[in-house]
Amino acid sequence: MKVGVEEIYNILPHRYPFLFVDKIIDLSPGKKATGLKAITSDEDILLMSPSLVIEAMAQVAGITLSFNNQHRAGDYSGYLIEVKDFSFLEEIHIGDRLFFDIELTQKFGNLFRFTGKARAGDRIIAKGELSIAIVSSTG
Amino acid sequence: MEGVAQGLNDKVKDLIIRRLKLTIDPKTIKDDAPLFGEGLGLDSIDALELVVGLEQEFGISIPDEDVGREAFASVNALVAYINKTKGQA
Repeated sequence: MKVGVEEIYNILPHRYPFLFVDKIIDLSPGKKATGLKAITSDEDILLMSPSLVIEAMAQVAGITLSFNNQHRAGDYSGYLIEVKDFSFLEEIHIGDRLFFDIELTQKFGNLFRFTGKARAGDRIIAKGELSIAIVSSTG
Repeated sequence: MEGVAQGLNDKVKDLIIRRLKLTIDPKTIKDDAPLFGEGLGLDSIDALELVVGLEQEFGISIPDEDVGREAFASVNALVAYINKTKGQA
């Protein structure tokens, strides 16, 4: 399934310039997804520092988890809690269409670990693992 | 049999130290001490890493937190859980 920017606005609390996903081009609820961010300006390049490439993947992971029946957006918040074995392999250029691929590898309680990869065409920009904690927003 | 059992305890301690990048001597981990909170002082992210490690290295899964609470009570409890799960396989 696909998720457009309006729906992403309903799922994530992030807004410009801290929202790093233009749309989701493919999603299996709670399991895997590919998000897209078009790099159109110098500002985009500056924003897409390595740590924010990871943040972009975390946002894609959060969107995926929000499609779990038990984790509807609004009732739950997702937090990036762990970053593991990340490598940054290539530079990002203006005109790149950055694809963020994430896939669930392990779940335990309210913790979800994903593999993540950022790519632009055939270039692998970054790869590693990240974990998200899902916490009730109502306490 | 005692030697086999102790061997598994040592393997579990080795897994804990290696996967969690702890800088302690395995001998300082008591077989019956709690792994989380007091005792070894592990946290929930450590639990996730142990779940991954147990699946990859021992081929056993910890399906939910309730099972985890029981299995991660101590090294002895984890060894008992591994033996029970392997016995059912």
